[in-house]
Amino acid sequence: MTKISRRKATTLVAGAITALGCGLKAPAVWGQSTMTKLRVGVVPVLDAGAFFIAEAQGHFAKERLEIEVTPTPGGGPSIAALVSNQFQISMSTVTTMISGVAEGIDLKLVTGVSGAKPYPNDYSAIMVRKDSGIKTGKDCIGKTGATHLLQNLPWFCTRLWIDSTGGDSSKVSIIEVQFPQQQDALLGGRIDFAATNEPFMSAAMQAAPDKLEIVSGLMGTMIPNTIVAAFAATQDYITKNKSVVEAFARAYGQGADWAQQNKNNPEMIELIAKFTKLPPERLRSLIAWPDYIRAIQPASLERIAQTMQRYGALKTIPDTAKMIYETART
Amino acid sequence: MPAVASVTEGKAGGRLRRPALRDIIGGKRLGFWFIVALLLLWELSARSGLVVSANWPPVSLTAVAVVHGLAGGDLLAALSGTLYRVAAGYVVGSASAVILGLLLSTSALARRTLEPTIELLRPLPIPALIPPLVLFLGLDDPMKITVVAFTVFFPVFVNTLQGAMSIESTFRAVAATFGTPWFATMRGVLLPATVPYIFAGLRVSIGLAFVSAVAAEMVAGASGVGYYITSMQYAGRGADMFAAMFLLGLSGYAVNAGFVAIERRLLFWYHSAK
Repeated sequence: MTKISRRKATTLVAGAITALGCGLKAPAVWGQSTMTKLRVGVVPVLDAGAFFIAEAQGHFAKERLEIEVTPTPGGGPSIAALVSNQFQISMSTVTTMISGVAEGIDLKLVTGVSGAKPYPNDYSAIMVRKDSGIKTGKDCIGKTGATHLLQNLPWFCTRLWIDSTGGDSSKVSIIEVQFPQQQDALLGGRIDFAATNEPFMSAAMQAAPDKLEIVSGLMGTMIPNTIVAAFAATQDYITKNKSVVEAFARAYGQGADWAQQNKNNPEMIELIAKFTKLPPERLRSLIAWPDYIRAIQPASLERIAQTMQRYGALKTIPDTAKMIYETART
Repeated sequence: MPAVASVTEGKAGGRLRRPALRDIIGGKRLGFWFIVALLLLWELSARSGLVVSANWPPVSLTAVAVVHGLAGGDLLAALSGTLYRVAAGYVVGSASAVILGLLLSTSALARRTLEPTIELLRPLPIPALIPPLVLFLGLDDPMKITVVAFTVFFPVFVNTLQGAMSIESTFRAVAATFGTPWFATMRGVLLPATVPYIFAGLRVSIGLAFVSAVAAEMVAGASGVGYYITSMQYAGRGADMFAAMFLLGLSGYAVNAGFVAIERRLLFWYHSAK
């Protein structure tokens, strides 16, 4: 019995040592499976729907990415946060990114986010007050219009619309009115037309169908099938974290593919409502949805840059093809 | 004597009279009734169709949103985040302003060196400074607390310096004659004489601290009343947006009232001398 006990004891000790050995080795094994933390700036609007889908469906987790989502208005603060490595990856409109690259910031677009189709599937539009008499850009001369931001894609496209429909955008006053206030400003007679988009467009049309009307599509109409927003990272971060960026793009892409195929799907509406705080009924009654894209077409980026230059936002056009990182090409 | 008619004794000698309308709504109650009237006007304008907008919900819906927001915890979390940033920025900004204000009052060289810089920075609008601050301080609390501290600093600094400079030179001369050490002069002469000015600056800064904290939260981050207001506005949930604004206003009012009470207690000698 004593012998057996000794054997048992020896076995137990050996087992314990082996287990301890394995235990000591464990951190290395765990290290391989440790989640990589990424802080991502996201503009919490409809355009970011595919990102929220990818997050909710666990695509980032499957790629061993732990995403810390930080809502951001996009634009300057997003780029500043990327440069200072507060964000590793951030969403913004592509016009902001083109401006940043033109200013010497080494940004790369790692995946597309949203795009716009031509009217009537455009999720952005020129909305007018019916009694304004505006049907084309020619009618806008001497009138006041509004865009959400100045020197951004809707602003450039509004000027394109005016100039391509008989008007002269240099003779039209375009002021900045944020999306949520545009309907009030239109109905109150403070502006005559507005560059709106979803979900504000459908909400306004439902609230005042007898006073407001859509006379043209905007972003996807003036620059057909244009990209609107993208995720970007600095070249420095990409160089040091190539596999992380690839994993992010793969995970996002799966969300984008699903979202593109499932617009109006109750699961999608529920998820987007949760992240954007939009009432689900508002999402169910959208006139049009953004396209959820992963690939960025160089020609689309180039057209936007040319438009920016035309309206004085760029002195020289940066090499837009070089802005697109390999993960955003397919 | 009718039960509704309270009895007041007139100065003329025991004459009884019914309460006048001014007794009911006058005096300190006037402000309360004015707010009630404004809220009623708000409710009527929204209900009657005079103003039709998702951004102008009836005040009764806002009240419901306050209750739901507090019960759900979202609104309380947002408010507590903002109050923390306001408090932290307020303490940092006001403390540095008082110290710098007192120090500059004692040194002409320091005043000549620093005043131009301070005067250049003072009129800068804080929203314009947020993008560069993001670059250096990030998007989280350090940036937002700095924004609040920066905003609070100037009114307190200007008041402190002005107060310290307005002290009669005789006081300083007496302290110097008696060989009072520099620190004791600061503590025993300069600071007490400057405190009413400092408090004036501190009180002005309370409101500014709230405004700047909310402005910073609107630009970046996922917490605080600023973020809550923006997200509700973009979601077309006007009642929830106003609920956050209402609680923010209430908090500001409460903090200001508390400050006034503390000021009266600490500066009783100053108020009684006036």
